[in-house]
Amino acid sequence: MSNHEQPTSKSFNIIGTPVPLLDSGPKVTGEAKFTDDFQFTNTLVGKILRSPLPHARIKSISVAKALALPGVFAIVTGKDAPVRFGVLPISEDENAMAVDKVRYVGDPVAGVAAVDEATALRALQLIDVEYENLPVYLDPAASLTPAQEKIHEKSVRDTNIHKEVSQHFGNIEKARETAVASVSASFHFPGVTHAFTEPHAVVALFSDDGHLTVYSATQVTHYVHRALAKVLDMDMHRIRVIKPYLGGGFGGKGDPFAHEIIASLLARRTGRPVKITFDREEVFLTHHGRHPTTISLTAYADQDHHLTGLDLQTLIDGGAYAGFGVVTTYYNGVLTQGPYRVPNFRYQGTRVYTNKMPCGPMRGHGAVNSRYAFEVAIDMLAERLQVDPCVFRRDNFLPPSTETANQFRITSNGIATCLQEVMTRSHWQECYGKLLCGEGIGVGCGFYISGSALPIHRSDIPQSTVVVKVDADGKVVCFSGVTDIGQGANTMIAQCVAEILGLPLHWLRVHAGDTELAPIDFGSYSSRETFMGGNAACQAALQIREELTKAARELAGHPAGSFVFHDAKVTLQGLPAREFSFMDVVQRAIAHKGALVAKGSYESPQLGGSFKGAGAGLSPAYSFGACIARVSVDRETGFIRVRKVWLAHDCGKALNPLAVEGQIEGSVHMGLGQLLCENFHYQGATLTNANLLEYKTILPVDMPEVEAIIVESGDPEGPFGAKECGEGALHPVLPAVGNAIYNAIGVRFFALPITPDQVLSAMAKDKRG
Amino acid sequence: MILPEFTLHQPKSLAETLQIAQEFGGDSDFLAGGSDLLPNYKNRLNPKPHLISLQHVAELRARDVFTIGAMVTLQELIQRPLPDAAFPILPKVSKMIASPLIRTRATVGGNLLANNRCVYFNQSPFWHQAVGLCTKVGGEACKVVTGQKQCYATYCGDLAPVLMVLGATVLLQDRQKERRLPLIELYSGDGSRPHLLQQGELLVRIDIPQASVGLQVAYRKLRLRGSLDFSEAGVAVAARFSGKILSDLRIAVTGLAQAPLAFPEITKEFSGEPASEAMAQEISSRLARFIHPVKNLNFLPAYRKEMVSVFLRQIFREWC
Repeated sequence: MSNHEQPTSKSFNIIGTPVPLLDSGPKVTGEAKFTDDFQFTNTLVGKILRSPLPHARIKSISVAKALALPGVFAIVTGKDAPVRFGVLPISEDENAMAVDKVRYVGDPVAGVAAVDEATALRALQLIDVEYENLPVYLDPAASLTPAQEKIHEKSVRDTNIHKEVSQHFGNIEKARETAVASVSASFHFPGVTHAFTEPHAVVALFSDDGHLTVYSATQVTHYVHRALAKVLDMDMHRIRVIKPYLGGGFGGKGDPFAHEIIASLLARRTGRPVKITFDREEVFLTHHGRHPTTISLTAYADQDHHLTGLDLQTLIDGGAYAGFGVVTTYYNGVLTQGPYRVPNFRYQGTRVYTNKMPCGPMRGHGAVNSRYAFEVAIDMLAERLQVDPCVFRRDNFLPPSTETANQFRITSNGIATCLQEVMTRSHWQECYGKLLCGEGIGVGCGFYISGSALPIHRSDIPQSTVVVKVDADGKVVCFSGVTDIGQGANTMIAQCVAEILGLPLHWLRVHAGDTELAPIDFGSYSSRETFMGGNAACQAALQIREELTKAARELAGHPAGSFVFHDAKVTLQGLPAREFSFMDVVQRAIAHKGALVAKGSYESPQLGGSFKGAGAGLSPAYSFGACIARVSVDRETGFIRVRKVWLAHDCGKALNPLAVEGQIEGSVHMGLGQLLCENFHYQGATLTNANLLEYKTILPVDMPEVEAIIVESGDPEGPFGAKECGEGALHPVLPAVGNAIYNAIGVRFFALPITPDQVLSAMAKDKRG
Repeated sequence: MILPEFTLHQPKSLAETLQIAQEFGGDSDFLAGGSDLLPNYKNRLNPKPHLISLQHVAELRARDVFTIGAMVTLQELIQRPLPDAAFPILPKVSKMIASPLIRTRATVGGNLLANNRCVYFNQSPFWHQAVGLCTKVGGEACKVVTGQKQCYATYCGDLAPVLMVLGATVLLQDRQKERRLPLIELYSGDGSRPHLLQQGELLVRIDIPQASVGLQVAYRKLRLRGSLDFSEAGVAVAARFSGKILSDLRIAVTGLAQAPLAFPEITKEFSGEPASEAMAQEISSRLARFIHPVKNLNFLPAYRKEMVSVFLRQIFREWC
């Protein structure tokens, strides 16, 4: 069976029906166990000593006093685990604990295992570390020039540049020469973080035979598995990684982390289970969130109001380590290749190391900042051309079934419907240009990958594999490596299989996020679970249905009969109608053979060009979205009230509309946070708002009304036509609101967040100017 | 973070409370709702070895139209409005403090005596290790106004300015005596030790004079979000109206200095005139000389100061 043979029936039982996520009940009642809830006999508490200095050589570490403290069982330092790791094999630059030097305030230096938290904390104070200060690099621009002390050995030339990307498609000079309008602007985006509910947590325990089990709040069990094997120098078959219920990730739990290795080292040293649960400050310091970024761009349009070129430069502040940063560097450029036709495109992206918290992937990875910049520039171009910004966008959309300048294959594409929906529902035409001063309406569009087509490790392992088992009890058990981080991946797997087998959801059980029970899946990042895990699940379920169909034919005495699976029944098509219960068919199917077991897997098709960096941003499908926002700006206080947001997202097919709406609403929440409130404040190299009171996310009371609009373009390769919805929906939110603010007060904002004091001072400057 | 170790005392009466307080003196803190104190304890910000819980002291829960016991919670101010609703501003301002969950714990006394806040103070031990200590945690000098020995941490409570314009007094008691002060005299103006309570002395209750009935009262608060955040500037105004003519004007502000500030010398000059936006403007420019926020909260000082004028203008606009 080919990967892309899809069930095509348009009338579904469970697909497309709003169903509560399988984990809603346990989460509401408290039955759900998160990593920190696991209690094992004799568990020790692990704590991490962190560097108070941004860049310093470690001259010595003395642990004798701490080890002598009663109740302290073990202390580990960098020399206990000198092997480097990192999520991308091409840039492994992390150690579990600093080996030779520390690179940011918060860098792990030592790990302590003690009988309780108070003792562990006391032990941390008794560890003496002698540091020698090194030159500190905080300003990303300073990292571009030759460094007196490189933060990492392996950076570009003698600088602190981590990664440089240079791409040119078409001919940007030609776009410049033929342009009738152009816009140049520079933008600055500070870093923002995920602010998920559950802090990072891990429990590591060794069995007597040396087998390691690690419970961790992670988005990718497989990458943790690999990193543990590598750093602990263990065979992968002697390690098991389990992801319990998880309280949000948004990309922040997508890397393998130092604390997972430290807990394992301490468990190996002590022979006892070791648990590490971060406090909120540690969550902030561990970060791996959105990169502070400076973006400069020029966009060109010709006399036919066609967008003819985009010339884009980014300077991306990566913080102390690489992480997913190579991907980030590419994504800032290549993900501007939709939803518009951009025939001429030049991109220069530079990611630098600085002595600050390491940055990483965060919802909408790599594309949120450049999307804001591009969509604001498009608004400015439309204004210059004296054309309605919605019309200008519409006239430049990519069609379905096409290819971009950088050879992305576009298949399903519902962008035109998305924009039309939000325009109609928001009464755009009656509002745009007709509102009172201080009232504004604005638009933005978005584009995102539905799973990365290329795996980050070179291997021939399918991107997702799902096993389905049906035994005499009739229960359908799915084993999958998809990582449910609260987004509903498990429910999605169950829905796909239940649909194909014609069963209500309560017949299904999903065992996921456990490397011992479930086949490999590359986890929950790059918006890949529905597309890849869903396809694998469908393929397995179709095989089970094939087996069941054979059994039903035997029961019916109808060797060529075709059957419909619905409501736990199997019905022969045509006359005379014969109907069997699902159980009867299962009994027949397993007779003399035993349980039915089937395996489905998913691999992306070969895609893309052959130039350097061609793999970045390749995806088997792309999601599209459009957003319109209405705002009021108080011209006395500068406060912005977002009154209503209309957000339409093309997710191909909403397998579970309830979950899709949730993702759309969550995207509005996160987008507004970055646009209006969230910011990092530093004192020197130290973050000063590492808590959820002073790091300002949007509160429920501040949320506007959201109209979530689901657009279904029916992707030819997605499971039941589905594509992603968890990340792409975020992109259009920020520019829509930013453009609405401009519409309200006539001032553009080129730096985020747009706080009331910024609004007032910008308005005052505007008046003077 | 976990709490440091301390001995918890749980007295059952006011007399017992004051006795324990006298015994442990400077080694103890009173624990009301804990919503302000315990986060500071977790951050090891001047914790004491003895905590005296006030949860079971019935004398501190007094409540009638003119009296509010120190242990009345903010939620009680909202949910149990008194029948004559003499001071509807009180539930209104309570709703603007913290969040619904915190208000079920936080008390009126605790809000009045909330510790001052500063970006250099409200931090963890790790942060202080990395950045250094400020005067409020035993350091040599202020880190906001560099070189200064005094502490500029800001008083951010919301009830204080409102109760001040209502003319409230506080009843303080220790083992030996009780004394009554106008609320404003509770505050020292020193960011390090912002309250003038003596050792072993407890805030028992707040009294509002009957003469304050009939005052028109308004409060506006500057914070980035619609809940949870502390005041970065707060303006309370009270006045009496006879037609458009205003008298008995009182103004108090919070979130702008080491103590809440009142301006009786300025406001008394505006009696007997019709209220107007121009009057608000005039008052603002007179107040400006006395309002000097420093850069120790989220918003820039100039913006916080500007909002005092804006809030005054908005309040007067609504009134006239």
